[in-house]
Amino acid sequence: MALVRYHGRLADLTGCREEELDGTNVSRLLDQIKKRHGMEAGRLAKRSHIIVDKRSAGAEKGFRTPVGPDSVVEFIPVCGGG
Amino acid sequence: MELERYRRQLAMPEIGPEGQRKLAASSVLVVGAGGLGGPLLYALAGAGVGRLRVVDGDTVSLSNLNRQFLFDQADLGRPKAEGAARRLSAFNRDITVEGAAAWLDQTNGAELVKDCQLAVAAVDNLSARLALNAACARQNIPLVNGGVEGWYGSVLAVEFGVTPCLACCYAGTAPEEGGQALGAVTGAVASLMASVTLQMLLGRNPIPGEILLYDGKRLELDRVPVERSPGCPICGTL
Repeated sequence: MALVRYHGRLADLTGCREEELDGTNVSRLLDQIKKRHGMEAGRLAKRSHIIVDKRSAGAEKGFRTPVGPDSVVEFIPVCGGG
Repeated sequence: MELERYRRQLAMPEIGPEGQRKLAASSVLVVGAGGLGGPLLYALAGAGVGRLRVVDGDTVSLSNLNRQFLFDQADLGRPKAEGAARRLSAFNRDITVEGAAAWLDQTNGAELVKDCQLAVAAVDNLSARLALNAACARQNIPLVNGGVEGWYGSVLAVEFGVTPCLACCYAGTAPEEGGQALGAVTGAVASLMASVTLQMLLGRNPIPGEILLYDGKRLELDRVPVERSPGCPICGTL
Protein backbone atom coordinates (compact mmCIF):
# COMPACT_ATOMS: atom_id res chain seq x y z
CA MET A 1 0.00 0.00 0.00
CA ALA A 2 1.21 3.50 -0.83
CA LEU A 3 1.86 5.98 1.96
CA VAL A 4 -0.24 9.08 1.31
CA ARG A 5 0.63 12.32 3.14
CA TYR A 6 -1.80 15.24 3.40
CA HIS A 7 -0.74 18.85 3.88
CA GLY A 8 -2.74 22.01 4.54
CA ARG A 9 -6.53 21.97 4.58
CA LEU A 10 -6.63 18.44 3.20
CA ALA A 11 -5.22 17.22 6.52
CA ASP A 12 -8.20 18.87 8.25
CA LEU A 13 -10.75 17.42 5.81
CA THR A 14 -9.35 13.88 6.00
CA GLY A 15 -8.73 14.08 9.75
CA CYS A 16 -5.26 12.59 9.34
CA ARG A 17 -1.77 13.62 8.29
CA GLU A 18 -1.04 10.35 6.50
CA GLU A 19 -2.57 7.01 5.72
CA GLU A 20 -1.96 3.96 3.57
CA LEU A 21 -4.06 3.53 0.44
CA ASP A 22 -4.27 0.99 -2.35
CA GLY A 23 -4.04 2.24 -5.90
CA THR A 24 -1.99 1.69 -9.02
CA ASN A 25 -2.04 5.29 -10.14
CA VAL A 26 -2.92 8.79 -8.90
CA SER A 27 -6.45 8.60 -10.29
CA ARG A 28 -7.18 5.47 -8.25
CA LEU A 29 -5.87 7.14 -5.12
CA LEU A 30 -8.13 10.12 -5.75
CA ASP A 31 -11.12 7.80 -6.03
CA GLN A 32 -10.27 6.28 -2.68
CA ILE A 33 -9.79 9.65 -1.01
CA LYS A 34 -13.22 10.75 -2.24
CA LYS A 35 -14.81 7.50 -1.08
CA ARG A 36 -13.18 7.59 2.36
CA HIS A 37 -13.28 11.29 3.14
CA GLY A 38 -16.05 12.80 1.02
CA MET A 39 -16.58 15.00 -2.02
CA GLU A 40 -14.82 18.10 -0.71
CA ALA A 41 -11.69 16.17 0.25
CA GLY A 42 -11.74 14.49 -3.15
CA ARG A 43 -12.10 17.81 -4.95
CA LEU A 44 -9.30 19.44 -2.98
CA ALA A 45 -7.00 16.45 -3.44
CA LYS A 46 -7.54 16.61 -7.20
CA ARG A 47 -6.58 20.30 -7.21
CA SER A 48 -3.50 19.75 -5.06
CA HIS A 49 0.11 19.74 -6.12
CA ILE A 50 0.67 15.98 -6.17
CA ILE A 51 4.16 14.52 -5.74
CA VAL A 52 4.75 10.80 -6.31
CA ASP A 53 8.08 9.45 -5.11
CA LYS A 54 9.65 12.94 -5.15
CA ARG A 55 8.46 13.75 -8.69
CA SER A 56 5.62 16.10 -9.52
CA ALA A 57 2.78 14.06 -11.05
CA GLY A 58 1.96 17.01 -13.31
CA ALA A 59 5.38 16.72 -14.94
CA GLU A 60 5.05 12.93 -15.30
CA LYS A 61 1.76 11.37 -16.47
CA GLY A 62 -0.67 13.53 -14.54
CA PHE A 63 -3.48 11.54 -12.95
CA ARG A 64 -2.18 8.43 -14.75
CA THR A 65 1.18 8.61 -12.95
CA PRO A 66 1.86 5.11 -11.60
CA VAL A 67 1.83 4.48 -7.86
CA GLY A 68 3.57 1.44 -6.40
CA PRO A 69 3.05 -0.39 -3.11
CA ASP A 70 6.10 1.37 -1.63
CA SER A 71 5.33 4.78 -3.09
CA VAL A 72 5.09 7.96 -1.03
CA VAL A 73 2.49 10.38 -2.38
CA GLU A 74 2.30 13.97 -1.09
CA PHE A 75 -0.75 16.22 -1.53
CA ILE A 76 0.38 19.83 -1.17
CA PRO A 77 -1.81 22.94 -1.36
CA VAL A 78 -1.20 24.96 -4.52
CA CYS A 79 0.17 28.21 -3.15
CA GLY A 80 0.08 30.57 -6.11
CA GLY A 81 -0.88 33.80 -4.40
CA GLY A 82 1.40 36.64 -3.51
CA MET B 1 28.15 51.90 3.61
CA GLU B 2 27.02 52.79 7.13
CA LEU B 3 28.45 49.87 9.10
CA GLU B 4 26.56 50.83 12.25
CA ARG B 5 23.31 50.05 10.44
CA TYR B 6 24.45 46.44 9.98
CA ARG B 7 26.24 45.96 13.31
CA ARG B 8 23.83 43.29 14.62
CA GLN B 9 24.13 41.13 11.51
CA LEU B 10 27.87 41.71 11.05
CA ALA B 11 28.21 39.85 14.35
CA MET B 12 26.65 36.75 12.79
CA PRO B 13 29.46 34.36 11.74
CA GLU B 14 27.67 33.45 8.48
CA ILE B 15 27.66 37.11 7.47
CA GLY B 16 30.54 39.15 8.96
CA PRO B 17 32.31 41.86 6.92
CA GLU B 18 32.87 39.60 3.92
CA GLY B 19 29.24 38.53 3.75
CA GLN B 20 28.09 42.11 4.13
CA ARG B 21 30.27 43.11 1.17
CA LYS B 22 28.71 40.28 -0.84
CA LEU B 23 25.23 41.50 -0.03
CA ALA B 24 26.16 45.07 -0.90
CA ALA B 25 27.52 43.90 -4.27
CA SER B 26 24.39 41.86 -5.07
CA SER B 27 21.54 42.67 -7.42
CA VAL B 28 18.18 40.99 -6.91
CA LEU B 29 15.08 41.06 -9.07
CA VAL B 30 11.84 40.83 -7.10
CA VAL B 31 8.71 40.22 -9.14
CA GLY B 32 5.65 41.21 -7.15
CA ALA B 33 5.51 44.00 -4.55
CA GLY B 34 2.41 42.77 -2.76
CA GLY B 35 1.80 40.67 0.34
CA LEU B 36 4.95 38.62 -0.11
CA GLY B 37 7.04 41.19 -1.96
CA GLY B 38 6.57 43.95 0.62
CA PRO B 39 7.97 42.23 3.74
CA LEU B 40 10.56 40.43 1.61
CA LEU B 41 11.79 43.69 0.09
CA TYR B 42 12.01 45.34 3.51
CA ALA B 43 14.11 42.41 4.75
CA LEU B 44 16.46 42.53 1.75
CA ALA B 45 16.74 46.32 1.85
CA GLY B 46 17.34 46.28 5.61
CA ALA B 47 20.03 43.62 5.23
CA GLY B 48 21.84 45.85 2.72
CA VAL B 49 21.34 44.04 -0.58
CA GLY B 50 22.95 46.62 -2.87
CA ARG B 51 20.52 46.77 -5.75
CA LEU B 52 16.88 45.79 -5.87
CA ARG B 53 14.82 45.77 -9.03
CA VAL B 54 11.09 45.68 -8.22
CA VAL B 55 8.70 44.65 -10.99
CA ASP B 56 4.94 44.95 -10.57
CA GLY B 57 2.38 46.17 -13.09
CA ASP B 58 -0.40 46.63 -10.55
CA THR B 59 -1.72 49.69 -8.72
CA VAL B 60 -2.54 49.85 -5.01
CA SER B 61 -6.15 49.08 -4.07
CA LEU B 62 -7.92 49.13 -0.73
CA SER B 63 -8.15 45.32 -0.58
CA ASN B 64 -4.32 45.19 -0.68
CA LEU B 65 -3.88 47.02 2.60
CA ASN B 66 -4.65 44.06 4.89
CA ARG B 67 -1.21 42.66 4.04
CA GLN B 68 0.77 44.93 1.72
CA PHE B 69 2.61 47.04 4.27
CA LEU B 70 4.77 48.92 1.79
CA PHE B 71 1.72 51.07 1.06
CA ASP B 72 -0.82 53.21 2.86
CA GLN B 73 -4.08 55.00 2.09
CA ALA B 74 -2.27 57.79 0.26
CA ASP B 75 -0.92 55.25 -2.27
CA LEU B 76 -4.36 54.07 -3.45
CA GLY B 77 -4.47 54.02 -7.25
CA ARG B 78 -0.74 54.54 -7.63
CA PRO B 79 1.67 52.05 -9.27
CA LYS B 80 3.05 49.58 -6.73
CA ALA B 81 6.53 49.40 -8.29
CA GLU B 82 7.06 53.15 -8.00
CA GLY B 83 5.68 53.30 -4.46
CA ALA B 84 7.85 50.39 -3.39
CA ALA B 85 10.99 51.95 -4.89
CA ARG B 86 10.28 55.29 -3.20
CA ARG B 87 9.57 53.74 0.21
CA LEU B 88 12.57 51.37 0.14
CA SER B 89 14.97 54.06 -1.05
CA ALA B 90 13.94 56.18 1.93
CA PHE B 91 14.26 53.16 4.23
CA ASN B 92 17.90 52.49 3.28
CA ARG B 93 19.84 55.15 1.41
CA ASP B 94 22.87 52.82 1.08
CA ILE B 95 21.14 50.82 -1.63
CA THR B 96 19.73 51.38 -5.09
CA VAL B 97 16.10 50.49 -5.76
CA GLU B 98 14.63 50.48 -9.26
CA GLY B 99 10.90 50.21 -9.80
CA ALA B 100 9.48 48.87 -13.08
CA ALA B 101 5.72 49.19 -13.53
CA ALA B 102 5.35 46.17 -15.80
CA TRP B 103 3.82 42.71 -15.86
CA LEU B 104 6.55 40.11 -16.28
CA ASP B 105 5.82 37.67 -19.08
CA GLN B 106 7.62 35.65 -21.74
CA THR B 107 8.39 38.76 -23.80
CA ASN B 108 10.20 40.83 -21.16
CA GLY B 109 11.46 38.31 -18.57
CA ALA B 110 14.97 38.04 -20.05
CA GLU B 111 15.48 41.80 -20.09
CA LEU B 112 14.14 42.32 -16.58
CA VAL B 113 16.33 39.64 -15.00
CA LYS B 114 19.49 40.66 -16.87
CA ASP B 115 22.47 41.59 -14.66
CA CYS B 116 20.86 40.22 -11.49
CA GLN B 117 22.54 37.60 -9.26
CA LEU B 118 19.22 36.15 -8.17
CA ALA B 119 15.50 36.51 -8.86
CA VAL B 120 12.53 36.15 -6.53
CA ALA B 121 9.02 35.21 -7.61
CA ALA B 122 6.60 36.87 -5.19
CA VAL B 123 3.89 37.28 -7.77
CA ASP B 124 0.28 36.13 -7.57
CA ASN B 125 -0.08 33.89 -10.61
CA LEU B 126 1.46 30.75 -12.03
CA SER B 127 2.02 32.02 -15.58
CA ALA B 128 4.30 34.85 -14.42
CA ARG B 129 6.18 32.43 -12.17
CA LEU B 130 6.79 30.07 -15.09
CA ALA B 131 7.82 32.94 -17.39
CA LEU B 132 10.37 34.10 -14.80
CA ASN B 133 11.54 30.51 -14.35
CA ALA B 134 12.21 30.21 -18.09
CA ALA B 135 14.04 33.54 -18.24
CA CYS B 136 16.22 32.62 -15.25
CA ALA B 137 17.00 29.18 -16.71
CA ARG B 138 18.27 30.72 -19.95
CA GLN B 139 20.68 32.97 -18.02
CA ASN B 140 21.40 30.46 -15.22
CA ILE B 141 20.22 32.86 -12.52
CA PRO B 142 19.04 31.20 -9.28
CA LEU B 143 15.40 31.70 -8.41
CA VAL B 144 13.54 31.77 -5.10
CA ASN B 145 9.83 31.10 -5.47
CA GLY B 146 7.22 31.67 -2.79
CA GLY B 147 3.45 31.55 -2.74
CA VAL B 148 0.54 31.60 -0.34
CA GLU B 149 -3.03 30.41 -0.19
CA GLY B 150 -4.99 31.18 2.93
CA TRP B 151 -3.14 29.81 5.96
CA TYR B 152 -0.57 27.99 3.85
CA GLY B 153 2.58 28.91 2.01
CA SER B 154 5.44 27.27 0.14
CA VAL B 155 9.00 28.20 -0.77
CA LEU B 156 11.30 26.63 -3.35
CA ALA B 157 14.91 27.60 -4.16
CA VAL B 158 16.00 26.76 -7.70
CA GLU B 159 19.58 26.28 -8.83
CA PHE B 160 19.20 25.42 -12.50
CA GLY B 161 20.83 22.14 -13.49
CA VAL B 162 21.14 21.15 -9.82
CA THR B 163 17.71 21.28 -8.20
CA PRO B 164 14.21 20.99 -9.68
CA CYS B 165 12.91 24.13 -11.37
CA LEU B 166 9.37 25.50 -11.24
CA ALA B 167 8.45 23.69 -14.45
CA CYS B 168 9.62 20.39 -12.89
CA CYS B 169 7.40 21.07 -9.91
CA TYR B 170 4.36 22.88 -11.28
CA ALA B 171 3.86 21.63 -14.82
CA GLY B 172 0.30 20.38 -15.17
CA THR B 173 -0.77 21.92 -11.87
CA ALA B 174 -4.19 23.56 -11.97
CA PRO B 175 -4.09 27.36 -11.80
CA GLU B 176 -4.77 28.77 -8.37
CA GLU B 177 -8.43 29.39 -7.60
CA GLY B 178 -8.53 30.82 -4.10
CA GLY B 179 -7.10 34.30 -3.69
CA GLN B 180 -7.25 34.00 0.11
CA ALA B 181 -4.55 36.07 1.84
CA LEU B 182 -3.85 37.15 5.41
CA GLY B 183 -1.06 39.54 6.36
CA ALA B 184 0.13 37.36 9.24
CA VAL B 185 0.69 34.47 6.82
CA THR B 186 2.15 36.40 3.89
CA GLY B 187 4.56 38.07 6.30
CA ALA B 188 5.76 34.75 7.69
CA VAL B 189 6.23 33.22 4.24
CA ALA B 190 7.97 36.38 3.00
CA SER B 191 10.40 36.13 5.92
CA LEU B 192 11.19 32.53 4.99
CA MET B 193 11.76 33.63 1.38
CA ALA B 194 14.05 36.44 2.54
CA SER B 195 16.07 34.05 4.72
CA VAL B 196 16.52 31.71 1.78
CA THR B 197 17.41 34.60 -0.56
CA LEU B 198 20.02 36.07 1.77
CA GLN B 199 21.62 32.68 2.36
CA MET B 200 21.78 32.00 -1.36
CA LEU B 201 23.43 35.38 -1.95
CA LEU B 202 25.96 34.33 0.70
CA GLY B 203 26.58 31.07 -1.17
CA ARG B 204 24.36 28.47 0.48
CA ASN B 205 21.01 27.06 -0.54
CA PRO B 206 19.33 25.99 2.73
CA ILE B 207 16.56 23.99 1.02
CA PRO B 208 18.15 22.23 -1.98
CA GLY B 209 15.69 19.86 -3.64
CA GLU B 210 12.95 20.52 -1.11
CA ILE B 211 9.67 22.39 -1.03
CA LEU B 212 9.41 24.22 2.28
CA LEU B 213 5.81 24.26 3.48
CA TYR B 214 4.43 26.69 6.05
CA ASP B 215 1.18 25.93 7.82
CA GLY B 216 0.07 29.12 9.53
CA LYS B 217 -2.92 27.44 11.13
CA ARG B 218 -0.97 24.71 12.91
CA LEU B 219 2.15 26.90 13.01
CA GLU B 220 4.27 24.15 11.47
CA LEU B 221 7.04 23.91 8.93
CA ASP B 222 7.54 20.84 6.78
CA ARG B 223 9.93 19.91 4.00
CA VAL B 224 8.90 17.76 1.04
CA PRO B 225 11.74 16.37 -1.09
CA VAL B 226 11.41 16.84 -4.85
CA GLU B 227 13.58 15.72 -7.75
CA ARG B 228 14.24 17.19 -11.17
CA SER B 229 12.01 15.94 -13.95
CA PRO B 230 14.21 14.32 -16.63
CA GLY B 231 11.86 15.46 -19.37
CA CYS B 232 11.52 19.03 -18.13
CA PRO B 233 11.28 21.36 -21.16
CA ILE B 234 13.03 24.15 -19.23
CA CYS B 235 15.88 22.52 -17.31
CA GLY B 236 15.94 18.96 -18.66
CA THR B 237 18.99 19.59 -20.83
CA LEU B 238 20.95 21.76 -18.36
